[in-house]
Amino acid sequence: MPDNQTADVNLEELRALIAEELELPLEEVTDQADLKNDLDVDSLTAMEVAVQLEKKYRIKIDEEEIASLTTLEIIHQLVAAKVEKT
Amino acid sequence: MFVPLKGSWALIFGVSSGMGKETARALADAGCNIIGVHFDLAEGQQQAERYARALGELGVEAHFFNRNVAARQARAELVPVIRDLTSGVGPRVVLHSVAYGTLTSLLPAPGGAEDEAPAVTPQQLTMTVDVMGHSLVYWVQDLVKAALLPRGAKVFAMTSAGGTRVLPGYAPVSAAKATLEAHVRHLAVELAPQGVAVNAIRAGTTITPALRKIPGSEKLIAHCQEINPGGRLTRTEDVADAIVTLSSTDSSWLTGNVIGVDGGEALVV
Repeated sequence: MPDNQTADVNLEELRALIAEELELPLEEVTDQADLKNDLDVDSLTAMEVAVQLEKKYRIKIDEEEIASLTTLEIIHQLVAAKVEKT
Repeated sequence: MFVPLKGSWALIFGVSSGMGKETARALADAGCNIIGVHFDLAEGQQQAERYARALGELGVEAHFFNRNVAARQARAELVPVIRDLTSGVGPRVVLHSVAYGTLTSLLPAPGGAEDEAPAVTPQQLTMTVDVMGHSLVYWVQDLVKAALLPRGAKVFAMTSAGGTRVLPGYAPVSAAKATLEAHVRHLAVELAPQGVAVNAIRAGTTITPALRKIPGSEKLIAHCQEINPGGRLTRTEDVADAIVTLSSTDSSWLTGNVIGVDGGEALVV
């Protein structure tokens, strides 16, 4: 994915938001850490992350998309693509 | 003694869908103000906001909050809000109608590949029982601590026949419902001296968004339609009506029960 598509969404801000929701130290939320398998995130916590993303970035996330919120890197791409569209 | 609901408050968990949504309308119709908690993505939240406005048009106050009912933070934020809205009195009706859990079996599907139909995980079991079962206890604890569960208050928790029976793919939710029913009995006894009644409502099979998510729900719907002695499925209105009726008394003697609202469905095979 080219950089310009994710330029509007600051990766570090996004990392901070997710770390806060997961109640984890920033350094554990690496770009590649898998929320479910590495960080022990259940579907309800994933839903909380999704609701916060919608609020902060004024985007809409579909229920089916929650399962695809796997790593910070992927969430960054998804959020950036949605911000781009709005 | 019959006591009208007009001017009192109801606290409804799961107000944006199914039983919670319909009961909010029925209570509002009876003049009861509504504090609703739900947990939805943006699309669902907008619908919930529209619904709150529609309830307001019935001449009551309706305040909805988009929060995870199982989160400590949600209780910490909302208990003071509940105190302010109810002028320190607390809700007369509390309804726990929370459908958020994992629908799967305990063991991997026989013959299926492990990754296609995996066994339930500890995360899924813990989360489901916490949200659909234990959260009732934590809310009641915090309401009692804040002196916001007055004498005459009624607490209802939605359970289902699946709490004591086996439905394919329902196992974690079944555990949550069994837990919820146990909590209802213990809360009923512990709150009896305060004159607060606690009951579980066991609705018959009712077409709600939550039912649609259960694997094989079409089969269950068809079966129950056939066996229900009342000749139809349960409707959310049946449940709402029962809750309004049971709430319209100052007696706390009806407590600690699992009350069937199903047209007799659970009595027939």
